Amino acid sequence: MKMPKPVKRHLALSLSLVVLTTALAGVVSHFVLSKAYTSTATLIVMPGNNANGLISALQLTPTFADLATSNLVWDKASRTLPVVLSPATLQSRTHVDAITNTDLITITTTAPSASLAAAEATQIAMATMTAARQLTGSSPLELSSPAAPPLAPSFPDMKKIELMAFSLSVMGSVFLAALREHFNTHLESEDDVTKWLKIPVLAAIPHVAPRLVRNNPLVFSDNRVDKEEAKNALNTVQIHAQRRESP
Amino acid sequence: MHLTPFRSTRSVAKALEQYRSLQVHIQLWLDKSSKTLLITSALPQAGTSTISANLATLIAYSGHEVLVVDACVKRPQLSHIFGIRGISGLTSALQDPYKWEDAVKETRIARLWVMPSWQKEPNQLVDGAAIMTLLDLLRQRYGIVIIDGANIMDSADTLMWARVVDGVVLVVPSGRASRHVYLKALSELEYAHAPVIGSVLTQMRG
Repeated sequence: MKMPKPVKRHLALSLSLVVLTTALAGVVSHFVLSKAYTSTATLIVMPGNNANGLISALQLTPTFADLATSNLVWDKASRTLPVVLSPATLQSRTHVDAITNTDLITITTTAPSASLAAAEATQIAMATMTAARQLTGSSPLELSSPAAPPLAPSFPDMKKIELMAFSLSVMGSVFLAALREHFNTHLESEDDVTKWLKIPVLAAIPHVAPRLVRNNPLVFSDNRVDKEEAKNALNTVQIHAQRRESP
Repeated sequence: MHLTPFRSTRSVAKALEQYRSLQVHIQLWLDKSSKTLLITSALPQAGTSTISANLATLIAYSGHEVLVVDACVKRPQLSHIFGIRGISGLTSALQDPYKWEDAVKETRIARLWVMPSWQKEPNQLVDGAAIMTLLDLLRQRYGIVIIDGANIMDSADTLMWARVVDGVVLVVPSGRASRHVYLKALSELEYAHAPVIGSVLTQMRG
């Protein structure tokens, strides 16, 4: 399949732009952007021993979720962390959610390292359990699922960023090529010459590298014998001459 | 009579084909009468000498007697292409047009002669009347006189040649310059009442 000339003309630049942009996006997302890791710990509200135990557990879940976001919990959790972190910072990194119609509470934390994210989520869960125990005198919460260090960062999403960079650069290069084509006033093809100069094109001679003609621009030589070539050339001339002469 | 490319590559083969196309157009334009043809361009290094030399060679091979005149005073190329030395050429022919034979040299190619250019003062304007007389004399002797002209933008002489020849071919190197440059060159030719018969697109890539 033959590629249209305008496409061929801008192909190299467009491809370079796409490759460069995608590579740059990859480099920036991998080396420049700060990585963030997310880890989640899950608490379960234990139902009481009475007949309405499960119902009361469901009703208490939002209450314990609120307890998890109290200053008491932030203070306690921040003191037990392996790094120095203020309760306010810890609060800003944490999201506590009571899952609707269940007795589960999720504590999700985001931190610059995988182990720290897991430690933060676990410590907040433990602090919440302790606070609940102190308030109720029993152990209404249990750690259903401790936070595990995540294997991959939650931000930046390399695949997403690279895909976006690729898509945008493809669109950008198409737009740029169209713009260049629109504002290109150079005469490139026979059509351009006919259109703009309004004179016939008698021949369109390709670029011949000097080495192919031994640094002599004469593409015909009289020192080599090729009768067939000569015959063809003469036939072409004669056929055209006859056509012109015929009525 | 043998025509053969130096080397059969795709670009050379295509160039041969296109030169044949140009030859056919020019021979149809000649229409069995003797004519003068100026090959010029709007910009330097457009390939006018290459086209003049190849076209002259092809027409000579096809049986016509051809003279190719190097009118590129500032940058003569034909002497180099055809390997001609030790001849005064166009300068002396314009000084005394009736002694033009002294300024013409035979080439290795049968029926092809060259009038090289050896002007000592390139800025000196040529005499329009001398050009006309010279071309009339050459037209009587040769089947076609091909003049390799300097580019229009740099040389006022080219417009003088363009005014007196039977046909002008404008060489347009592909992608080299804006169309406005060529439109200006065409308007200059139009102003000189030059009979532009067509163009040749050169240095096509891909």
